Amino acid sequence: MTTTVPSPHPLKVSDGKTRKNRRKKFRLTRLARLVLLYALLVLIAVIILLPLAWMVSTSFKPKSQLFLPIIYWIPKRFTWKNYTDLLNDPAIPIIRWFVNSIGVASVSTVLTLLVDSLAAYAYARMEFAGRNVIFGFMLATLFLPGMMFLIPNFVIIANLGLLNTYAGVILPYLAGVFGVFFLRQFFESLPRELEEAARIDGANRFQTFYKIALPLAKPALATLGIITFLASWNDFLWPLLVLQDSDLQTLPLGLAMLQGAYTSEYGLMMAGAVIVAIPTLVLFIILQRFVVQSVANAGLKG
Amino acid sequence: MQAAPPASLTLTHTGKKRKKRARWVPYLFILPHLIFFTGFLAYPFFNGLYISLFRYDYLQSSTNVFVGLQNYINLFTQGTVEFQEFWNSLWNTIQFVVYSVPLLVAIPLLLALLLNSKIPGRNIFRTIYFAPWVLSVAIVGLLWFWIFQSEGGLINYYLTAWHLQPIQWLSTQPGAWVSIVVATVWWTMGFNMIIFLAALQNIPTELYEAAQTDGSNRWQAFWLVTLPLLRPILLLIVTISIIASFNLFGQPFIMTHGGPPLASGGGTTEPVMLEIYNEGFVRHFVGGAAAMSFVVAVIMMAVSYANFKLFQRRA
Amino acid sequence: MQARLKYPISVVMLMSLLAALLTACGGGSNGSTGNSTGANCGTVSLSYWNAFTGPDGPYMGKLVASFNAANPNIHVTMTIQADYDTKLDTAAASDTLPDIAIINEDKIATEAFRHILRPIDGIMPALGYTSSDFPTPAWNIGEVAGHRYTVPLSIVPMTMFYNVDLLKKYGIDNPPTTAQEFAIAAAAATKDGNHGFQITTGFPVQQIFQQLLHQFGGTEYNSDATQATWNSPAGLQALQWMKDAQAKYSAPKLEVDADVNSFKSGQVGMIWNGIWQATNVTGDGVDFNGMAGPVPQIGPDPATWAGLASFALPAHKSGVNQCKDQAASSFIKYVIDNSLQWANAGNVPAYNKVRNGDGIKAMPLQSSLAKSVENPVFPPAVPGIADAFAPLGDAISAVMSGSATDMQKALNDAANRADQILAQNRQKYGSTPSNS
Repeated sequence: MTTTVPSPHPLKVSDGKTRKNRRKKFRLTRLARLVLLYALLVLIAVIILLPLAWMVSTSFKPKSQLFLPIIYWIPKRFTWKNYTDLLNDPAIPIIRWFVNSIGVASVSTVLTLLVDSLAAYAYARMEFAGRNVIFGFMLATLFLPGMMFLIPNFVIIANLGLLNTYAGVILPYLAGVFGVFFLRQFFESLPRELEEAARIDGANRFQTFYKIALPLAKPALATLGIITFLASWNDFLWPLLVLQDSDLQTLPLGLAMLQGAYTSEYGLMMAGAVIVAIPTLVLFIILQRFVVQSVANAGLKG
Repeated sequence: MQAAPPASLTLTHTGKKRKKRARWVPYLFILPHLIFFTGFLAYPFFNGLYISLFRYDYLQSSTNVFVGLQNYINLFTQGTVEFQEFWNSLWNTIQFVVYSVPLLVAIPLLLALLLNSKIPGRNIFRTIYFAPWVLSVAIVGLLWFWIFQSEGGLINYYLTAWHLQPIQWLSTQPGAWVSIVVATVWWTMGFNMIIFLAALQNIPTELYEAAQTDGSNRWQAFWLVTLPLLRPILLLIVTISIIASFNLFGQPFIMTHGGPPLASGGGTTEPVMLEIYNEGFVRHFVGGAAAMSFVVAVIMMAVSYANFKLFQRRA
Repeated sequence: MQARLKYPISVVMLMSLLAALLTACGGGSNGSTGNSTGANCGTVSLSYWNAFTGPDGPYMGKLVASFNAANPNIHVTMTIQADYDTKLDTAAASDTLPDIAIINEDKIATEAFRHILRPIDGIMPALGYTSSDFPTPAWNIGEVAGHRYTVPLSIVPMTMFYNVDLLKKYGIDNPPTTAQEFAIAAAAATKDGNHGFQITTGFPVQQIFQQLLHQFGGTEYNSDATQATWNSPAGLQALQWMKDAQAKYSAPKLEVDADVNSFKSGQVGMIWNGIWQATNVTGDGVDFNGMAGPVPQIGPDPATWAGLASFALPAHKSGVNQCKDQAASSFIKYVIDNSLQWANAGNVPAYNKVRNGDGIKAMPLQSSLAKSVENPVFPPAVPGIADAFAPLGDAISAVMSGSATDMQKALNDAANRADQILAQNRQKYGSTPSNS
């Protein structure tokens, strides 16, 4: 017959030790989960980076090495020739194109932020006749294919005498609705108290906008800035129509020059792609803190 | 808003002045943007509508002829060249929208969920996942065109090395769509991911902890807490992705040239934007191209509206 | 408060100033109008556009430079344009066309009718060329609606590229020149995982079809280009030959460029493609001994598909400037007379004297192709003709990829659609080039 007096289990000496065992198990699972997470993240990163690595690898290969029966990630015959050809060829003024692109993209971005923030603030914070109708019509235009505006805009720019100028390239960008929509959402999410306080203090509309709302909008402006900059940096068809002199070309137009009428020199083009991609990547790395922060604060409640 | 100011001459004067000024100040704010919008979006829109009623070539203006609704009628009359090409290319684009949008929503969401934890080095991963987005469509198209080459391309090379059957990606279906969708997702998922990530970080952690103390596991927490709070963002992402996918042009242009071809003419990856481009810029039938644009726009709006309603019903 | 306002405004002003600077730096003029009385022209500036992107450009650039050096009173500025056709369109719309332009064979009539080009009858005496100076089709395509619009510069024909090492390995010591020799060589090299001949389902299968169609006695269109005639028995014969060759020697369902890329890997005996691939698949471009030569003649009639670059004079609203035309004619004559230099870019000179001259002997690629460009296949000089080829390209691609199995039907359907397009174009363009 067994005794009914419970004898302490040899391992379960005290409550403290049991809790410790549970904690140990808990930590192990947590560690395992962390390792798994990292493994997954690294795997995805590798998959995403592979084409980029291939792009860089190709840019260092001479023509004859581009299509061999065996694929070499590290070029069998390493060459800087693609880069030197690009940078030294007088018919390919890549530095000049680079400067042009920076100029056009920067000016587009600054002007867009200026114009859009003013408008967005009004749509978000001010009551005026026709506000919803105008804004609604603007939203509707987002659904139109971009292609259909190319020829009419070209005719307008030509009639304004702005062909073959950067103004001609930049001005139609300022009509964009996405920026206004994006910033409006952001301004709507701001707490009204700060602005009300400023109004009570005697600030007019513009001062409220300029001293209160705009500084708070820095992250959203940074995000919109990156998006606008990249859109202008990579735009091909519109600058192609407007810019005629080869000195004025932007980088995408210039890169198109590397492609022959019927053939593609892959090594050269990949080198060009690397040259184009690096500054944009650097820009994003610098500004990326703002991107996530701003989208968070944009109060995307719909 | 505020109580009426005391009946003192100075205050009433200031009050009236402020109200008067206030009325036209908003218009000053919206004026710069409105000027550009009217000039470069609204006016071309109506101009395009007008042009679509003509057989129009801006270089041969002497041959421009008013044709009424003929451009639209051609699109809906079986047997015309436009009919077959337009609807074929539109069907291709719609297929692409159906294939790509779910991936462009699910994959970025998944990545955002993974990156939502406070682990060290997540900024590096975030940068890597976003990196492809800084490339232009020409580079992306060329790079993936090369990777998907049937002879000497990266993918078939490894398929053969692992003793698997190599696939003619760019010249057969479904390989052609797969190649275009893969290239597009690789290229643009970073943008959606960033937006999801920010939205996720907006959700206070207390809600998660509350759900967990209630006894739900991570999957339930996601489904019952996260997803409902993400609804507005999901609607935004889905809408943006639909619009972007409808505008598909560069990837098939560079990678498959619209092929693989159909027996009745045209290609199986030829998007409607390429058809509009050909009609307007290559054949110089600008009126016809404008008509096509408007038909596509109407369809896009209908699809977006249906999508919007779908989200509303789920509420 | 005022102080803080100043800073951002100055930033804005800086940006606007930058924008203004960039605007000022742009908008270059297209050269002076010059003296239109023709007596004393002074220094004439000419703008010259072409689409010679990629590695071709520098060769033309050298010719321009040497012309400028030899002619101190004339300065030619060359601009290489991407998306050339659109560029010409938009320049025409804004009256900023260049003084001299290169035009491809399939666009001559179209651009003439749209008043992008103007007749060059006026400078022909100064140029001194006649029909006997160029291959007849190259000369004829430059005549639209009874006027001369272009003078031929260079021809880029269909070329055969072959892997000398691979063919030798299978006992073929000389490249084939006839249909039988081709069959032997292709069959011999289709062994051990190699392909004797590769053909794709995209470019340039349409062009190969056109070449074979002519070799079998057919044409793409009837004499006044109101109907497509590629669905004739000759067409069927041509397409059948292509399909058989693909089945016997080539990998099926190859996409564009797959023939070139597989050739570069050293596992293909022969490919047919444009001469512009020469630097890519011969010499330094490949790890083996790759050579180029004329395509074997498959049908009874000699014919070679080719592209053609010609000189043309664009139209300007201000009318004709005698000084500029004089200068332009001397530039055009210079380049054509010295087109041997231009041939280094990988084309065959159209000017008979240069092509059959002594200098060409030092260029094995061009001299081997000199004969084949005497029978080039060009499209009819009809506006909008390039649009009418689109259904043909679709049909050939569909047949080669296997999505169309009835060849006659595919050719017939394509001919029907092309007829519709031809009719639409006739309605649009009319019968004479516009004057405005």
